[in-house]
Amino acid sequence: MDVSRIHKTTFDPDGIRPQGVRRLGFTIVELIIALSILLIAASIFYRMVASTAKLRQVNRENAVAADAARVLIEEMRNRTFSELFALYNNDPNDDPDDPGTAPGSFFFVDRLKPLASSPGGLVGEVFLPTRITEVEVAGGSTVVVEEQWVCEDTVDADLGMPRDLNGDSVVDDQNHADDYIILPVRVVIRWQGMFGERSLRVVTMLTDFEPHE
Amino acid sequence: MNPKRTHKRGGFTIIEALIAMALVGLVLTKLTMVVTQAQKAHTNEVATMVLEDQAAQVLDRVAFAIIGSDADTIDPVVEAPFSTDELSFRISMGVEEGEVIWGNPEQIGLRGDGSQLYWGQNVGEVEERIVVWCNTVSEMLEGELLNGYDDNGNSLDDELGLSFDKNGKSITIRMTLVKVDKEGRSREVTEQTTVTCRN
Repeated sequence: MDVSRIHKTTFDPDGIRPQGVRRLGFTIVELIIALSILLIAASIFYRMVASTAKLRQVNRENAVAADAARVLIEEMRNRTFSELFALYNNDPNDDPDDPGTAPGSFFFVDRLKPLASSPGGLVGEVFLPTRITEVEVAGGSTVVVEEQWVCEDTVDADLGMPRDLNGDSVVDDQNHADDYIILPVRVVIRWQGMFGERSLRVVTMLTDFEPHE
Repeated sequence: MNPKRTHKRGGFTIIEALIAMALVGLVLTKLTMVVTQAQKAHTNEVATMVLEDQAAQVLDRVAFAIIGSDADTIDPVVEAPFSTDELSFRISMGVEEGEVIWGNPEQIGLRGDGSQLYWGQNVGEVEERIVVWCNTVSEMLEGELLNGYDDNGNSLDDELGLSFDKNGKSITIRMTLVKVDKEGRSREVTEQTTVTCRN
């Protein structure tokens, strides 16, 4: 240590701050500034790593949802076209086989966590151009029941509705569940992602290419 | 100020130096451990991601090859709980004078030691064309054992690392890729999809 320098040391009248001393270390202010810079740099780095991990997880969830939607549409293509509406609406009474045997409008997706509001823990839903209509059934007494109709006058821009579904060049308000030749379909998947509520929507148009008599 | 006191300490004592060195050593060791662990985790994640990407790409190739085929030309026709690791099919090229023009017979399956997934055209004929799409296919599908049971709960018994099963005009494709790293740890990725033959 340079003793001569210490000898020259004088103190301020309050005896607090040494004057004329060559500083051999860091002041507390310098340390705080250095630590702050380090902390900011570390937090930026941490945020970057965290956002990369988040993006990867979000991409994974999106890929699972997109694949599930695609597979569901492929399964719909594998069904008899004229039965698609009855199979994938949420009315069990019009199922082609026994009531309640059709897949219905909701479906399960493996590896996606359902929302608290997901019915029966099913994250996927199929939307068709449907209208619930009250019809009178004449029996011993007249009863009003709800029926699901394929309607050309349904307003749904996403599905391209209203539009002619049975190829007669007219958009009417009748039920075309038995004579539709094109069927717009929207598949929506809503799930609880790792970073909040997420959803994916796929819209397509199914049609029947099989020759008919 | 007493000059004598100033002379008392010209540097660090050996104890101080030892303690400081021990502390620095400790901090450095911890830091190295953290960095090493982060590096390992990063390497693992990257390796898994690469394998997942490869599996997705190969599955897409297989799916798009089958999607254009005619369901009636698919051979063999195997339905769950059985499956096949080899599929032959033909693609309709169009209609000429009322007759369907068929493309060359195509085949997708496993070859070699069962780890190579190939696509072939005119297999076994003079104009044979074979392309290996992937060489990391697992012996069995993830979670499956060769015991006559459905061990992984996917409704198939004893399916191999690549398996096809037919349901109407739909084909479900399942595939497990496996890769062993330098340290001998194996990493598995399983993908599956369903396609419906368009022609």
